[in-house]
Amino acid sequence: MRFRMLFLAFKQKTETPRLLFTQMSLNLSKEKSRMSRQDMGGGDMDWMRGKIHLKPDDQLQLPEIELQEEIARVLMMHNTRIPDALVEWSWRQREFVRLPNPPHLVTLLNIPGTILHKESEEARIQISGGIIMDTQEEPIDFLVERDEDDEEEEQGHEEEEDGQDANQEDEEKIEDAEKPAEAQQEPEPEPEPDEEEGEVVKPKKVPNQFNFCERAALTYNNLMREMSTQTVPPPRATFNAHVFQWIIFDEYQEDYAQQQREKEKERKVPLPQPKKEDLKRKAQMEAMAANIRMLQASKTLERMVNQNIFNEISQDYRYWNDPSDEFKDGEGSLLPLWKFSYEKSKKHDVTDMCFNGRYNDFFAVAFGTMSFGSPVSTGNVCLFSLKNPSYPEWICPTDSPVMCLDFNAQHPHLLVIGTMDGTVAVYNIMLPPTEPQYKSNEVTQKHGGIVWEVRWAPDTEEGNLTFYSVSIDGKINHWVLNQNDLGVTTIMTLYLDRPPIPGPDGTMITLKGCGTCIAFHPNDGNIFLVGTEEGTIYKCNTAYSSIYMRTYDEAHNMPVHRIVFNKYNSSIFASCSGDWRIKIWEDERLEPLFMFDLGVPIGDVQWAPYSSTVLACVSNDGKVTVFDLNINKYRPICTQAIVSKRRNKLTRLAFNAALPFIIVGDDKGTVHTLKLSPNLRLKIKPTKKQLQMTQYELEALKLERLLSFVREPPVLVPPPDVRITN
Amino acid sequence: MTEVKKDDVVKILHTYPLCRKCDMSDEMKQEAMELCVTAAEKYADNYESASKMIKETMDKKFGASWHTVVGEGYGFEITYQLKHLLYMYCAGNLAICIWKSA
Repeated sequence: MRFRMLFLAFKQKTETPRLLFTQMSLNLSKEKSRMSRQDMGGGDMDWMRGKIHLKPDDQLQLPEIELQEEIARVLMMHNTRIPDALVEWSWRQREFVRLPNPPHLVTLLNIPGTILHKESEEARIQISGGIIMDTQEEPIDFLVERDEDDEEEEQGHEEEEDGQDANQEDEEKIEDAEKPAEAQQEPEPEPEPDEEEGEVVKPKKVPNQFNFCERAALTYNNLMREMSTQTVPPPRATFNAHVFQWIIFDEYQEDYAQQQREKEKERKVPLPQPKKEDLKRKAQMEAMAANIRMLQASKTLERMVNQNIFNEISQDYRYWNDPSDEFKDGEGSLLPLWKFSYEKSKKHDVTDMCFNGRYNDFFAVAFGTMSFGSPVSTGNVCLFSLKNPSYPEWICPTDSPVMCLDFNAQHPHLLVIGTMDGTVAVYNIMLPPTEPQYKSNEVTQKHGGIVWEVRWAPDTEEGNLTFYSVSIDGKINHWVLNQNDLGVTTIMTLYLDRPPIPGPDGTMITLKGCGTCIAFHPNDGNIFLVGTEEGTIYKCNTAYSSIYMRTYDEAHNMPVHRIVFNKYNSSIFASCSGDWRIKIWEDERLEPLFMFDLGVPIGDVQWAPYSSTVLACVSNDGKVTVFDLNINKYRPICTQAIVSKRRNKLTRLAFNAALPFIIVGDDKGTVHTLKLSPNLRLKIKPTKKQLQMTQYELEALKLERLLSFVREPPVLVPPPDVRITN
Repeated sequence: MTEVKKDDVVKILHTYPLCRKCDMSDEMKQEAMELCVTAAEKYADNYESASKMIKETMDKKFGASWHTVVGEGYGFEITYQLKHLLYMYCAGNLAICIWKSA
């Protein structure tokens, strides 16, 4: 507080020259400031507490009373320094004459303006649009800026008359100064008086006409430059000749002779026809190539669309394994995936299916009929890819229902089919499905009945491809693919071991068995098994066409539908039949090792490629049944209905060689894809001793151990040789 | 008989335009030859006029600096711009050489 007051005191001292209007005003302002100080007293002290003020060491210490004391200063407009008694010598009066006192005015700053006073003569002439005729300057009042000393202003007004001379001098200075900008600014803020007077509606800028300046600039001149190029002169050559009349004549003669010769030639040789046909053929080839490219592109697109549509199934197929298998104690399940069908084969039965040896996702399906009285009279062969479940990759319509087919293992593009009318045909699936590459002769070669199974066989010594077919007419034929045609040899006719019966016209007829299935020994290409309608299984050898190596009489009571050799032990095979039973046999043993009765006719049985003890079958009640003899010798580990029991039957089944799924065909022309759950494809775990063994050996060992429990008698005694005399 | 025949052949005087040497483009060649034949026919008795006509027409059509020689007997050695030379016989006894050289 004290300091503040002190500060104020200083301020008063410094400001005294400025506050010199009147004593009154000064007192007023002082009272105001005191009041404001008192007001501040309460509130301000709080935040000021603790502040240390810097003050000089030798500051005068004043007591409270002295600080409160008011020091009044009065400013006056009386210049004390002015001499008050000036005298001058007057020659006329011969005495000193007293001079009037000089004015109290002191000019501290003088800035000449460039503005005309609105009331002045010149401005009036300008406003009225006239031209200033007389150049004589009228005395002009200047609006003095308030920034300047107040004192000067007051005195300026008071002593206007006194300063007229000075003003005139000022004006001359203005003209020299030339400040046009400022001259135009001032008249604007005073439009109101003009309006009141009504003389001029719009405020006009009143410039001082002597305020102007000229400005000019000199720009750079662009430099001149010369540019030139030299080009390569056009190529030239020289030429010379001589002209004589005889030369001209000779040239004409020679040219004429040449022309005559050419004419003769033209007469002799007519122009060869332009090769239009070649061109046409070429154009066709190009069009075809473009077409093929287009087809390929559209096929790619189709697959992409399919991939998107069946995305969930694809994900299931890849990644979904039934998590409940862990708790089911050896039992498994089948997960339905895609369904394959062909619109025009909805009424056909799926009579056979075969995976391609090269591409695991590619399989062929034969569409025919299984029932005798079926109205279906045509067939189809379709090739499907898992990548496109909606439409077959390759469709081959046939005249007769297709009953069986097989892919060649070495040449995966070759597909052999057998049909109901006894024909066999070989297709190259790389070609369009219009014509088979080979087809059996309709008259001399064909079978007398349904061809139930075809199987590729090892090549001949000449390198020709061969296959076997078994038919209901009791013949087993060996076909050889020659250069242009099929060669055929009947290697076996299935005569029944019964006395001939009398025919209608007195001839004796030897009865023949009706072959329904065939299976070749995996290791010995000569030995094969044939199942018949009668339920008998014959073991035959291609070397002997008249005798059976062994006859499994009454193996089944109904037609044998399938015989398959075990993938790991070639002496073990399984058979299924319409008598509801699956039987597992060992070579040379007339009694089956295992027998399962499912209570419904069984359409197909297959050994799993990944395990020696797993086999799956399809039955007429629409169920797929999977056995694992290692886990349960008496009951299946999975029985699952795939199609409706009442309406559909399952006909065929095929394992994929590498991927964990199977395909099953039904009698409505649909192929179902089923993923095997983890329990159905258990791999055998090697014990510590077996660590160095391969999976194949382990599987074979597993089967052998299993068989040792069921063999009875454990070792077979070979039968004594019998001399066959006839 | 053979002698008579030979005489017959000898008497034939060919008057068709015969190109001896030309390295022009086909279009230019055709036009130039037609022009030469026309000029030779038009000014059959004044080779100077014929050559003048050929030169001026060629200048107009294919750009400046063409040169022309028309005559029954002469020898020449010229330097020409490639693709711009024509040397031909015309009307049985005329040799016309036109070329361009800047």
